[in-house]
Amino acid sequence: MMIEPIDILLVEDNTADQELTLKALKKYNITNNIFVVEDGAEALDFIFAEGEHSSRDIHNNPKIILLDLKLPKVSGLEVLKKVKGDERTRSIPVVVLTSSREERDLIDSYKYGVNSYIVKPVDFNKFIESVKDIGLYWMLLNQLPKR
Amino acid sequence: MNNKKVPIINRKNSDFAPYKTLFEKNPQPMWVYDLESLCFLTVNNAAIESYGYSKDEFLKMTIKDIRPKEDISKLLENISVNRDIYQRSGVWRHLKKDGNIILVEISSHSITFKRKKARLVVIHDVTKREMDSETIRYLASIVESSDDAILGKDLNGIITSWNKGAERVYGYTKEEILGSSILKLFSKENTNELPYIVERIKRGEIIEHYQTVRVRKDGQNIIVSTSISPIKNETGTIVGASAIARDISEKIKAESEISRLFELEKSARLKAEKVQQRLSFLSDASKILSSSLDYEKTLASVANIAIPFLGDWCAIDLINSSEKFNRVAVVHMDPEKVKFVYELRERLPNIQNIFSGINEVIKSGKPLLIPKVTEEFLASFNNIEVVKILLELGLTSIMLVPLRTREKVFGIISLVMAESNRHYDKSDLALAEELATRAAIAIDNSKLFKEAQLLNSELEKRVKIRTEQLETANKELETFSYSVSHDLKAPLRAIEGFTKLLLEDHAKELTEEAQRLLNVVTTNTRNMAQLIEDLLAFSRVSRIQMTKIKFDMTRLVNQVFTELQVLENGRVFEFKLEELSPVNCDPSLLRQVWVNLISNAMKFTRPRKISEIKIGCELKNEEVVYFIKDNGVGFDMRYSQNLFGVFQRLHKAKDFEGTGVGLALVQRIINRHGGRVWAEAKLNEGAAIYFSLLKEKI
Repeated sequence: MMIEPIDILLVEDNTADQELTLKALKKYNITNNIFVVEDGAEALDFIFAEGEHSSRDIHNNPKIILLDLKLPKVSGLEVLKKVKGDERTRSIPVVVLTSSREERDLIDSYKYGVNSYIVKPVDFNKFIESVKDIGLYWMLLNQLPKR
Repeated sequence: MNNKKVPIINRKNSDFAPYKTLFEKNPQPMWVYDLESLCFLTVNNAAIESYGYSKDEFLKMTIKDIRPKEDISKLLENISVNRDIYQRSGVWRHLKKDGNIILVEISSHSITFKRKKARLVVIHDVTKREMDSETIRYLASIVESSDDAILGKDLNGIITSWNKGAERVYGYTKEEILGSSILKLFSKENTNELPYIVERIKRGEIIEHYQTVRVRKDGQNIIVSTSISPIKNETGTIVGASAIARDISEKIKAESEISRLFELEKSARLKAEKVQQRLSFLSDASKILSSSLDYEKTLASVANIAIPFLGDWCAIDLINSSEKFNRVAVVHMDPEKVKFVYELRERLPNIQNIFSGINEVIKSGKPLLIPKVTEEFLASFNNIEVVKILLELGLTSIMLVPLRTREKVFGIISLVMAESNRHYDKSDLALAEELATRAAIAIDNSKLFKEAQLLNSELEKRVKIRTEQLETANKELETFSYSVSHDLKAPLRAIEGFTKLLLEDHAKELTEEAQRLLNVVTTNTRNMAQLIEDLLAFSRVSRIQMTKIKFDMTRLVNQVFTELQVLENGRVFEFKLEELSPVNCDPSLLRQVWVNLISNAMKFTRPRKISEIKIGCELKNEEVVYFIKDNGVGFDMRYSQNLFGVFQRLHKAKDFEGTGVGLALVQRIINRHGGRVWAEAKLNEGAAIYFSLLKEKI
């Protein structure tokens, strides 16, 4: 049962990437209230408070969603499309965090309303930089509209 | 008359009364004229009657008045010269009162009349006599001068007269031939003509324009047209015959030459007409043959135009793959007969076994011509039923012409004459062969065309399948590269990330060597990540859609150079950029080309104090050739073929970093634009890379 508000929803099936992302966030002390899901279907359940997460308050939206594109069951793009297509969740900032440099993915992401698109660099230092940038920007600078 | 009478005149008139009567009534015209004045002193009745003047008129005239003017001088001369007592003065012309001239023979005596010296003149009118002999002379000269041979002969055939024409026609002179038999002129074959001619002449008949052969003196035969008439004496008895003959040898020769020439002309004209007919027939046939690719239909049309021009029947059979005959056409003007032949065909399916000629034609590939269907020919059929049918059809002439392509006979055109009772000759056969050749070529063409069509559709099918396969493969490749970019990089990131975490968070626990080894891991991981990125870029180039436009190439190159220069801190570049001609091409791909080429140039000039890079272009016929030259380390041209291969490198990694994808990528982009890439270089003396793009092509 999750009562506490969630700051960050990380949708990532690769556990190594999960850990690296979490470590990167931790480096900048962004560690509280991070919830990790490993496939697109669970991500949607969580966001829309359905299935396993039906007891969650849908109005208690995460402050940011970090979304991998290549996910089991439901793809990242599908998740993005649903989140940005629903009144209740549209305002949640979504940052696509992916290995793909494919232009098509980038174009589709922006078409569905992604807030930021970041290609995960192999270089760990650069990765940390990227995570720091989005973390700081979206967590600290960007004010979500008040409910 | 004698001279004794002269004194009597001087006697008394009464004594001379009987003489006076003798004078007056004498049937011959007589007169006395004065020798001095030439006046008539007296005239007798006969003179008055003959000349038309009255006695009084005479007595007022002189003898000059009855002469034509032109004769007067001769008259006066005669009078002055001749003073004989009796004188015959010959034939004179006298003028009658009515203006007619008569011919007279004059005799005169000197007398004294009424005391005047005078002459008694007796006139004898010889006009008729003179005219008759004139006519004879005239006719004789006509006969003599005639071109035709005119001869006379007696009833025994002895030649009695012979004109100049006869001399010319027969070659004998008058002296040679007179007294000879007419048979001398007959050829041996014609001697029997004589009794027949003589018989008719004796009966008083005239033989007119009778054409026969005669022999000249020189032995040459001539053709004469002769007319023979009987000659009668004064009492009307037939005593001989006259023959008029004309040499018509030349005429006949000329006539036969004319008719020969006429025949020649006629046959030439017929020949020309026939040739014309044949040509137009062949041209019609060719038109039909080229009009359709359905050759069975085409052959049927050819058979149709062959009839009736080339026969009464035309049948076309094709030999199918199992060596069986397939009749594609039978044509006859009468559809009932066509039906009959088809029925016959069903009754006798193995016609080639009955008529061996068909097999010969197939085997030898040579045509068969039977100009005339004879009984022997019919007997060669070993089937009595067939013979009956052939007799019933009334075949007169047959041609069998093979249809063949290259080596093989694949059919036969049978042309048959029947009720029109014509017969084929070699020229007909030649025409039929020509027709067969054209038909065969047309069929061959249509077969080839059909095969080509089949191959074409087969090819299209294959292309379609291949295209589908290619599309599938392309999709798979896309999926593959997607997962490569995604999945292959994730473990690398993990290796890199965790190695970094080890080095940062656990540095104290690691020896220096352990740290160095972990750094090697990190470097290699990054290299691999770069390789993956390049590979993805490489495959992306082939997949993305190109948008070709014309843009400012010089500006693009300048931008790229400036951007890349920033990354090369502290280096000195001497960059020469010429004006670059724009062409239709994809700007983002060309940007990639220039990035790769310029960064290569910068990389390989790194050992130089001053890096010289020159970019320009040359206009060739159809294309623009761009180049980039540098003063870098260059390369050995022996390895130039490796230059554009993926992951091919001519330098060691520790000298010059890189994955070996750059130029491969350049080549792929330029090739997609229809251009070429090549390089010129020398080891340590710089390199030049050229690429061409097509002008004005979308």
